[in-house]
Amino acid sequence: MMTLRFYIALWAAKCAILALRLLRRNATHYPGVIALKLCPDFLKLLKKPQTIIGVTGTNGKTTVANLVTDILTDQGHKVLSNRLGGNILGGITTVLLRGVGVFGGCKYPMAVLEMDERSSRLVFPHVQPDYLLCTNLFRDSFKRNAHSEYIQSILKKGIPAKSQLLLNADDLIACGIRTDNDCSYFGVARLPNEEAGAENIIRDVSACPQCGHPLTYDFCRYNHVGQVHCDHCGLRSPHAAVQAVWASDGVLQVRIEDTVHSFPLTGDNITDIYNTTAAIALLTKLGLTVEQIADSLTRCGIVKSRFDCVKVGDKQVIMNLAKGQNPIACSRVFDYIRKTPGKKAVLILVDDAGDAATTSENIAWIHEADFEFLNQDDIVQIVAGGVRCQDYRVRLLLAGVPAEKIGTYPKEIPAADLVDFEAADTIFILYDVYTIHLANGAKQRLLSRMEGGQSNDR
Amino acid sequence: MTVEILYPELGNLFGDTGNVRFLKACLPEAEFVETALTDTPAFASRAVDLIYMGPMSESAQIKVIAALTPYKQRLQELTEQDLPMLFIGNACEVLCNGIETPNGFVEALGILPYTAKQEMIKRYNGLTMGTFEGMTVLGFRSQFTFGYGDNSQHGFLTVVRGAGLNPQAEKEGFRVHNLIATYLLGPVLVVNPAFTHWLLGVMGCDRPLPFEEDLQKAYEIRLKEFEDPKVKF
Repeated sequence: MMTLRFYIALWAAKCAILALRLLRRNATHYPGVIALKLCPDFLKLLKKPQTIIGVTGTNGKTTVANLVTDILTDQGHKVLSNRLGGNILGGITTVLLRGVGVFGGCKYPMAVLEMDERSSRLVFPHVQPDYLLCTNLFRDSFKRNAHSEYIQSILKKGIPAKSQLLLNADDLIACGIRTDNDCSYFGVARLPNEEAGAENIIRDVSACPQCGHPLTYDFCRYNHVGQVHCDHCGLRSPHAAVQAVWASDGVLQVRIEDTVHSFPLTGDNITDIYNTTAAIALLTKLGLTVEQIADSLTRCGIVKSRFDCVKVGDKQVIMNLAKGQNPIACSRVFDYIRKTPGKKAVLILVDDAGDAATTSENIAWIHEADFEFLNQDDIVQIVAGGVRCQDYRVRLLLAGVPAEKIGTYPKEIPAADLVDFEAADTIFILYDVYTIHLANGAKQRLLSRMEGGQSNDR
Repeated sequence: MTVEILYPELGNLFGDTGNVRFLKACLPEAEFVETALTDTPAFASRAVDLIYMGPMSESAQIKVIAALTPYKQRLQELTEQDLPMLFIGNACEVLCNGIETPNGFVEALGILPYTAKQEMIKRYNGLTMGTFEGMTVLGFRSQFTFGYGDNSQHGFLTVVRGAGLNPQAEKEGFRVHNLIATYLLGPVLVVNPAFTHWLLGVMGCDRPLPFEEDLQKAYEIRLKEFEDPKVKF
């Protein structure tokens, strides 16, 4: 029952949204915080869409949630989503209150919510997804997420009994969040000509979660992602009802039950394939036909805000989100760089902006990221910019990178001056979510040095 | 020269493998024995020059305590014999009296006189700066537990800034003979070249470190930050 206190909180929060918008802010978090402060039961009392779809996981949840929202919208559904940001309690509350009118009536039949995996314990008691997709569970920031087993236990304890789960069959940690929920799986089969991944520093599943004996990887794609079995107790990676089986030249073939279907594919790396397959699995679960999904995918691709390429003559400058303090995300980017043809230079700008302003960043995570991938002949130069640049130099030296290939500068933007663009065909600029402004500054400085280039998004 | 890494399949969190790779670079001639949970530890039956264990998950702690309990006396004897040992992060809790968890008390090996109290929804993140044998040691902290007990006589670091065994303690960790147990985590050896020299010294093989000049420069940059009163601990 909605109380006067609830309405006061609702109206105050709606006023806060208006005020923040006037200030040209996204208003994705604080209105919800205000509502919860004024009425602690606010989220419980708030009317919610009839169907709630949650997307969680360490990496890819934003991309998958946005893709699912775009396709549902393209197919004529009215969808409430938090694509502008806000995936913890305050943000989820904000988006749901945006979805109700001033008298509390819900205006949307459906919501797609990206949910932060660590904050889910605060959200799930009041927002119970009908469908919950988990993209993967990896090590992330030590400070927030400790370790993947910790996050797995939070999700496992909090997932509502009614939620139908869609889990990544290739990730046994993500699979481990299942209790008695109805559950199905998506995955990516070993693709034609796909080589087994290189040895990563981190492999969080080496023992069988059922019996503790060593697991055998039938195919390891990267870290603990792949297909496994246990010789001792017979455990196997679960069967993926929706499984990508082939990807090339903008086409993704996905086996759904026993039939293989073709879908348009944006992007060319394994992350794009996982994210698109996850979205297809969720959308088929929601009742969309293969034809509807394929049709919408021609118009709704993966947003490339986290990857941007500018051509300058016969060279290219690529901005790539690497997510500081996230060793897996950085290792995936390093792997992509080493597999990119031609000679490459890399500008690393991933210092934690918050820590740089107030404290001394815990750099332990860089000893888990696979900097060894950057030690190859066609990576001709690596420049680290920011206060932690000497730590990156040490890490690169320990990874075997010759000292003469490493440049450092304690500020991000001027570090671009050290990049020897003439020696490289491709220059990668790696940035963290909160250092994009610095990376843009470095990119402009580099482009002005390169002169005469023509911008052109890939 | 033999270095035994205990349970690396579990004790590998928070950048800890950086220490092991660095030790391998420091001691290219050494034999590194990586003991799995199902193996008998090498120290049980042969001479080793260093026993090392890194931080792990809370469930792994319970498995490791069970695996090491039969060797408690042997570990105590080796400690008395001045064998260098390095237990990093929550690996040190394996040696304490026990861990108070939300699910009850977990008895540990009882080699170090303290109890760890675990709060799984209250993660402590911070920095610690302390002195040891005339050097200043710098480190990172990220943990669900604090230790409670008397480490005033056998503390590892005398805290200059940051938390000790717990926020009120003046000493961090334990040093008993050449056994060091510390809540500092991550690449402690990479971050503290002087401490690495001390460790190699007690192992009887001190020598110049790989990339020593660069390590020292990184240390000095960090030391300046840790000494800055504006830097939040």
